[in-house]
Amino acid sequence: MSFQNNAGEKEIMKIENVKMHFPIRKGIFRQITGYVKAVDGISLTLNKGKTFGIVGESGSGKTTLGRVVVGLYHPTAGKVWYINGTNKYEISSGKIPLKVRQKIQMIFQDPFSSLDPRFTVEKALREGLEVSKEYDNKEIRSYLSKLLNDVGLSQDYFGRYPHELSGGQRQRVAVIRAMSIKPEVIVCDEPTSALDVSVQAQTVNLLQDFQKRFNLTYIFITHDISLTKYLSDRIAVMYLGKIVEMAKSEELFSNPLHPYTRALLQSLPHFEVRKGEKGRKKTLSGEIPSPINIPTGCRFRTRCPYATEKCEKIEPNFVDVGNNHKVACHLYEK
Amino acid sequence: MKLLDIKNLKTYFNTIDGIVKAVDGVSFDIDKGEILAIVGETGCGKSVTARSIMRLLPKSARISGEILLNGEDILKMSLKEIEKIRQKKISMIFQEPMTAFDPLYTIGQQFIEVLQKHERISKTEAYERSIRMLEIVGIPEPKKRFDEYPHEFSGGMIQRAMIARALLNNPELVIADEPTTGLDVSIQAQIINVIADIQKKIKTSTILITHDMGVAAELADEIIVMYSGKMMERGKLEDIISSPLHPYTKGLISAIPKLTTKKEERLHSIPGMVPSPYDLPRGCRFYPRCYARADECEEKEPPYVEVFPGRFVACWRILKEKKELFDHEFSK
Repeated sequence: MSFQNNAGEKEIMKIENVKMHFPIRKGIFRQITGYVKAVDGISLTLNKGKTFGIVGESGSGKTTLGRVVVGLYHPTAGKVWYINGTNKYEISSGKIPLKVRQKIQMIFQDPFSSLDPRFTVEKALREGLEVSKEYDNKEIRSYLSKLLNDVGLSQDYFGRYPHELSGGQRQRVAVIRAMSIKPEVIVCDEPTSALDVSVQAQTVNLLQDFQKRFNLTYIFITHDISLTKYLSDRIAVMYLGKIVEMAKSEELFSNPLHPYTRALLQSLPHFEVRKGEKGRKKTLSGEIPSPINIPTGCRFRTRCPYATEKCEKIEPNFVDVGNNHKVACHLYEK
Repeated sequence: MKLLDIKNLKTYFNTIDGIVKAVDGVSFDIDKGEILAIVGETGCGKSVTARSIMRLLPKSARISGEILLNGEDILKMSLKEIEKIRQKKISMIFQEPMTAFDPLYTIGQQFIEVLQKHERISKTEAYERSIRMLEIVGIPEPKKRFDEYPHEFSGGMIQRAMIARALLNNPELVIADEPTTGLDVSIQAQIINVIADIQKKIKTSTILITHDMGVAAELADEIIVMYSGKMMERGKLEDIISSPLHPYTKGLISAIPKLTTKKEERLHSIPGMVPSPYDLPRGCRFYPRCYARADECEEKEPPYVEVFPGRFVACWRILKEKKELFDHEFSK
C-alpha cells in the first residue's frame, strides 16, 4: 500500500470529514441545549514537505481544526490519519503510541501564555526531550544549545524566564521547543499575529529555514491572507466550520471563485499609494453568524451578494472545478 | 494657527529600575480636517504620545514641552480645564472597545451621560443626537441598539459604537489608538470605511495611531514614523510609501509580505529587536539594527531636520546625501 497522489507527492496526513461540536449546557442539570459547531465536516490531505494554509476570520473554526489535527481534541465525528511510510495511525482515536504522537507538534498563537512563567527556557525546552528519551541528560544540553544558536539566541538564554524575553524571542523558544523532538508535521496557529512586523518577518524566515532543512510539513493557520499566500503551497478558506474553497496558492489568488474568497481578497489592505478617496473600496457587509445557529443551506448566504432562493434551501456541494480547485458554491455547480 | 501644535514633547516615567523615556522630544502639528498617522512598533511611544495629549497618564509620568490646542497649552491646564476639553474638543477611540465601555450601563445611557456632561441639553435631544450618531457610523436598528448593553454588541459593532461616542460632542480632534487592531479583515475594512466616511462628512482632524502601514496607507494624509520614543521620519503619505528615506521606514515597509512576494524570496526582516528603554543606544536609537550605519551614528544622535519642504528625517546618512537627493528631486 502506498500513499502517493497523482503528482507523486507523498501524503502524510489525511483528515476525513472531521466534525467538532461542543455541547452547550444550561440549568442545574447541565442539560445540553445546543451545540457550537466549530468544525462541521472537513476533509483534506497534507503532502509531505509542503505548507497547507488555512485562512478564515475569527469564529471560522480554524484553530479548533488545528487542535483536532494534533490530537488535543477528539473529534465528534470523522477521522484524522497520520501516515508514516506504510503505517497508518488514527490520531483521532486518542490511543496512539507516544512516539507517533510526537511527530505532530503545535506552535501556539500567544507566546506569552504558551510558555510556563515558572520554567526557565532550559526547563521548557528539556521537558519534551526528557519524555521522548531520545537523548541522555548531557546530550540534551548540547543539542539544545545548537538549536538555540540556530535561532540566534545564545546559551545565556538557558537560565532566563519567559518574562525576561521579548515577544519575538519567546516565539523563537516556542519554535525550537516544537522542533526539538523532530516532528514531521507542525501546526502553526497564528504564530506571528502577536508580533511586530519586523519580528514577524524574522519568525517566518525561521520557519521557512526549518522546513527546508528537515522537510517538514506545516499547517499554517492565519487570518493574514498575504502571509498565507507567501507561505503556502495549498490553501483552504474556511467559513463557519467548513471549507468553502481550496486550491493551489497561485490558483486561488489568480482565480478566486467563491464569493467569500473574492470578498476577502478585496478587503485586503492594498499597500500602495492611494488614488482618490480614503478608505477601502469594497467590503464584505455584516459579520460572521454564530456557529450555534448556522444558516440553512449555504452558510455564507446571509452575507453573499449573489444569494438566491436555492442557496437558502440547499447546501452546495464541494466540487472540483478542474485543476484540483474545489469550491462549495451553487454558482459553480453544473 | 494650527489646530494642534506639539513642541518638543517629552514623557518620562519614573520606575524602580530607572527612567523610561517613552516619548523623547516629539514635535508635530496637525491642520484642520487632516488625518495624520503615527506608525511604529510596540514600545515606540505612539500610544504614550496620544495619552500625553489627552493627559491620561499615571502619576509617575513627567511630561515636558508644549501641546498647543488652538494656541492654548494643554500641559498648563488644571484637571478641571482638561475635563472640559476631553471629549468636547479632543476625544479618543481606544484599542479595546469592550473595556472602554462600562458593562453595567446600556450604550444609550453612556451616550447620554457623555452628551449631558458637556452640553446643557434635554434628554430627548440627547437621545435624538445619539441615535443620529449611531446611524452615521452604520449601526443597524439604532433605536434597538441604544438600549442594549456592551456585551450584546459584536466586535465590529462595539468599535462603531465607540467611534460614535467619540464624535458625540463634535470634537475638533479625534485620536484613534489602533482602531482596527484585533478585528478581522472584513470588519477592519468596514471600520476603515467608517472612519474615512466620517472624516468626509464631519471634517474632524484625526490622529491615527497604528502599527500597520497598510491601514495608515488607506486613511492618512501624512505619516510620522516613530521608533523608541523618537520621530524617525515624517512626510506626505505618497512620499513615505513610494520613496521612504529612513532605513527603519524602508525596513518596515519591506517586512510586510505582499501578494506579489514569491515563496522563494525571503522576507526582508530587520535584524535584532527594539532596544530596552533602560538601556538606549547612545547615538541613533536605530543604530544597532541599521544596515546603513556609520561610525558617527553610534556616537551622536542625528538631528530631526526638514530635508525637503514637509519632509523630515532623522538620519545621518540621509543628511549627508541630502544634497544629492535634493538635486535628484528637482531634476525630475
